[in-house]
Amino acid sequence: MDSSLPVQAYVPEIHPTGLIPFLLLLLGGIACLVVDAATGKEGSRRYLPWIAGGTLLASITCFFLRLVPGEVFLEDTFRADAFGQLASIIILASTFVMTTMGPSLVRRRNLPSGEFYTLILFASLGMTLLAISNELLTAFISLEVFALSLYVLVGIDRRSRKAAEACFKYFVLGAFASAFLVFGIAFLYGAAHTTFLTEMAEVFRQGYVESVGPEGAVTEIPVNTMYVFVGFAFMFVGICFKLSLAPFHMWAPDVYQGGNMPAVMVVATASKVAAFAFLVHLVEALSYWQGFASGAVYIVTAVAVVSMLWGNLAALVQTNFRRMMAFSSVAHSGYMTVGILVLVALPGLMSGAELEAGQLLIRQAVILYMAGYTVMNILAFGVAYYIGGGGHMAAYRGLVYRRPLPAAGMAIAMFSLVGIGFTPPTIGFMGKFYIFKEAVQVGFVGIAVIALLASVISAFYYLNLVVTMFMRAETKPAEAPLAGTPEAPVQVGGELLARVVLVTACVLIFVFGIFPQLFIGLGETLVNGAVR
Amino acid sequence: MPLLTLIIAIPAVLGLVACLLLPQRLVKYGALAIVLLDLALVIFAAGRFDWSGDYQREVAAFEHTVPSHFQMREYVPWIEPFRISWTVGVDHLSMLMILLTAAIGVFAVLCSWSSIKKREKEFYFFLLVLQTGIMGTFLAIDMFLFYIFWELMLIPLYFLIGIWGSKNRIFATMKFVLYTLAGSVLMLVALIWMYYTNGYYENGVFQQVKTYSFEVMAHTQGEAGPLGSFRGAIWPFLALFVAFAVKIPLFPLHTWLPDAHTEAPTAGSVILAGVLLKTGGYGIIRFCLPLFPDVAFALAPVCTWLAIIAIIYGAMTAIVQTDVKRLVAYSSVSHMGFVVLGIFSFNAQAMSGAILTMINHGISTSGLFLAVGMLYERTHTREMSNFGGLSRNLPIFAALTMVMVLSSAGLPGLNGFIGEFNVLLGSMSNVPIMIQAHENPAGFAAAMGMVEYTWFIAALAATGVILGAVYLLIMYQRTFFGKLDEARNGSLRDLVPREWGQLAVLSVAAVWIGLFPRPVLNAIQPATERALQSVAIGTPLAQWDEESVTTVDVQVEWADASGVSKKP
Repeated sequence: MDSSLPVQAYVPEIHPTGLIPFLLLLLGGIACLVVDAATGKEGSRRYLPWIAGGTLLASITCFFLRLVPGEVFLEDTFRADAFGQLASIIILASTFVMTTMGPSLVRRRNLPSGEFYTLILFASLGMTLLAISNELLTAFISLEVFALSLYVLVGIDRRSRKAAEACFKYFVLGAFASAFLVFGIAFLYGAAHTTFLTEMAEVFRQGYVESVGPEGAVTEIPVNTMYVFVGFAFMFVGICFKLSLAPFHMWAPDVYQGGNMPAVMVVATASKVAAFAFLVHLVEALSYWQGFASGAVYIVTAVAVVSMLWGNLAALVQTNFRRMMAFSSVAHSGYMTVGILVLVALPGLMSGAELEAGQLLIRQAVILYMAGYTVMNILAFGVAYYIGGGGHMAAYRGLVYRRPLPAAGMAIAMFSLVGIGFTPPTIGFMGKFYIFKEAVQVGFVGIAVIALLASVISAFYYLNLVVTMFMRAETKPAEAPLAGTPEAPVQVGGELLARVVLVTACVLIFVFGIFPQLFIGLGETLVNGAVR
Repeated sequence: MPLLTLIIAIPAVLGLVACLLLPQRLVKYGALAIVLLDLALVIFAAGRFDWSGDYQREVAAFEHTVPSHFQMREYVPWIEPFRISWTVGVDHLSMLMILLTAAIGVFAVLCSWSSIKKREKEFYFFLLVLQTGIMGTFLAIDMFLFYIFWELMLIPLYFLIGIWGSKNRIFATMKFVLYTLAGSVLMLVALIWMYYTNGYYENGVFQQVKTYSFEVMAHTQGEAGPLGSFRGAIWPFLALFVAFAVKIPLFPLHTWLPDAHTEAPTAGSVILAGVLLKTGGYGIIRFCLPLFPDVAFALAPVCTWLAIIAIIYGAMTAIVQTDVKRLVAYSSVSHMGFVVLGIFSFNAQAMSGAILTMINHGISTSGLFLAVGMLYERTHTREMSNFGGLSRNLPIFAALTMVMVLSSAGLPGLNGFIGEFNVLLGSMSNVPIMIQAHENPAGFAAAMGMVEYTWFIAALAATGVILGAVYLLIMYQRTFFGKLDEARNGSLRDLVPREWGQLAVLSVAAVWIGLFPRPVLNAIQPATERALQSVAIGTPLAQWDEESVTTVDVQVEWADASGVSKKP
């Protein structure tokens, strides 16, 4: 990208194979629509899960076949480094779990299956593209694609008032966030005269924009600091909404409580992974701007600390499982933001190869955390969904006496969510260890201490659920609250696929918890092709 | 053969297998077989162990090669980019501790034999996982691995108290978990911090040595690295110390203990008192002293005072308890105070007394909890007022409990006396160390007015022994002597062989250590010397050449022999 030459040889970098997994998702979505129209209600219920699930698996396979190049492609629009590819795989895995839950949900709540599966695939498309996007407008459009799909998915159960409420809140606040995002993009474009993140990083590194005049005269326009900060602040706020970082988390409890469980699971996991992956790429580009850290550190620290503390403190007093998980996800986003904080501060401390190595370590830490967070949430929501527990704590009382294995799975998820201190060989612990290790290295010892003490607070409510499941006597069915209402617990379970998914999640929690480098090595393998 | 790895892994792995394969009623036999196998392995390891105390050889930990005194060392790289490895090894201190752990593990299974009736599989599984966690804690050399095992001990105990505990169990288990968790999360930050700041100055240039290995850190830290200075070391020291102090438990961090002990099932109490509390003392001797000698010196007066408070406060609180189990729990606070006092007196006598007290407390307090458990199983109450005159129809029980009570009270001729007497004698003669602390720039010692008053400290601690006799004898009297006022206590059956067998073994151990303490003290001796070599004379381990080792030996001998205190 040497713009000093007046006439540049145009070499398109398309890497067409890189688009295959994403085109598959698009085609799969369209196929779902067509099949839904062609077959009746029963037919679509029968075939669509297979189409959607198959598409998602095929798309994941494309990553493993290394069809996606480990660099920028499609004329710099996408950057599928190890981080982005792993994020995509996590997203696809999460939506795949949602499709496995689909049939029982569709049957139980009598949902339109055509829309359901199509939207899952479109949401996956948007999220994966956001995770690897290197261009701000592409990122924005991807974000809108998945956000709109998820708004609908959350509220797809039209007969439920709570779902309507959740959908509406999610939509209104999401639209609000999108406005912030676009506004921030405009400012960043004003500062850097480009929307490509890699070019932006180059501009910020040299500190001026080269503008080529009509006669080939090159003028150097200095970067406007104000624009950078305002642009970042607005974009960050927009992304904070998506990540449900305090104080922009207000939608989360209601959406988690009102939406159907599979959609909530995807909102909690995949959508956050996508937004977070984009945030990492964005901050990495911006952090090259000299003096960026001096301002951004405060914003990011404030958001991270407030999220960790407020999320955990608010979760303490929740009496509803779903609301508790919502606040817990606020706190977990806060922990991950500590990784962003390190990323912001890193260029001020080192440079050159050392900086790149440092950024690589942070990306690895964040992706490990996100993988862990996703697996733990899939397990928690999955168990809650399959035992028909829903939100009411009463449904979990003495669960171990009725359903010992789901109870054990939920306990593993809870222990792993506590993460630090309590449950060493789990992925929740390793993710936190990786992130806080980097934080301590660059000198954010105070933040690490706050994060760990916040984790201790979180131990209380996660363990409270374990206490409820393991140490309290079972309620008799007659005493179960809300019996006969639409919110009443319904047992779903017994499906082979569900068991496979949940057992896999359990196994992954321990495998990646004991051998975290396996997961990170996987990313390297996907990109470099070198088996480590 | 990876002997130590087997010792660590066997309880949890075979426990899982046994719980999956065996039917409910056979699980306890499986558990017993597993703990006996583990005990056999530990004894086998003890047989192969070089007890002489001059074992040393070059070992590798990632890119570093350092001399190490750990035997049967196993080293497998684990998370290589961060130099985390599965490094386990055993020295005198940890060998004694794993012997204690394996033995107490057998008692824990035996005492649950008839008292645990619901969900036996899960019970024995958690019990065995707990044993794995404790073994790993005592054997890990890699500090990250140590942290992992340290935390692994929590989960099984959380379930043991929470599911099989008595009435107030949920409150107790949450309190226990949150206390220990809050205490130990900071340890992780400290370990990471040490990983990045560890190093030494060579020709004025700072050489960073990133490592989680205890051996490497102890040898490379030197006197001039950031961790060698007082300012650099105080925070990591405090973070580690608080984590250990919660486990010990040292006043004022002890309040979880009475609740946890009281509500736990007998096996939980036995392991908690017998072994788990020792991990705290072990951690201080293993990590706090060698890695941060200067800070340990400077804070010694503070720790000493806290220990004194724990001894007296624990004892006085025990006197007023009406719940037998709670009384024994508070007696633990008091006894573990002696351990801290002994450690922070920094001389050979007190240190060996502290280590011996850890073992003694493991024997006698486990015995007391076993006795309380047997009593509870018969009467379903722990209130002292419900007992009285039990010695009439429970003569064997009364006799064996008597041995445990007297051992705990420190009667000469029984084990408790040897340990506590050594601690008292040592703390009386720790003047030179206190003078050194006085000369320390931190100057805490002067502020505390310690130098002139070491006899006063020993005198205060001795009060704890007297108070110990008071509460233990009161408890014994109210339980076993006097009139048999409760009619239903008249029909209690005496101990079955499984029960009196446990108490008898512990009694024999108590009498044996009490009458012939030499073998045990000989085994403790190298551990004591090593702990003091690394700290007492302020010699960093990095300078462990022949010369300094000899001078250290001379001084240790001097400290050992001095009845009268004088300046070095």
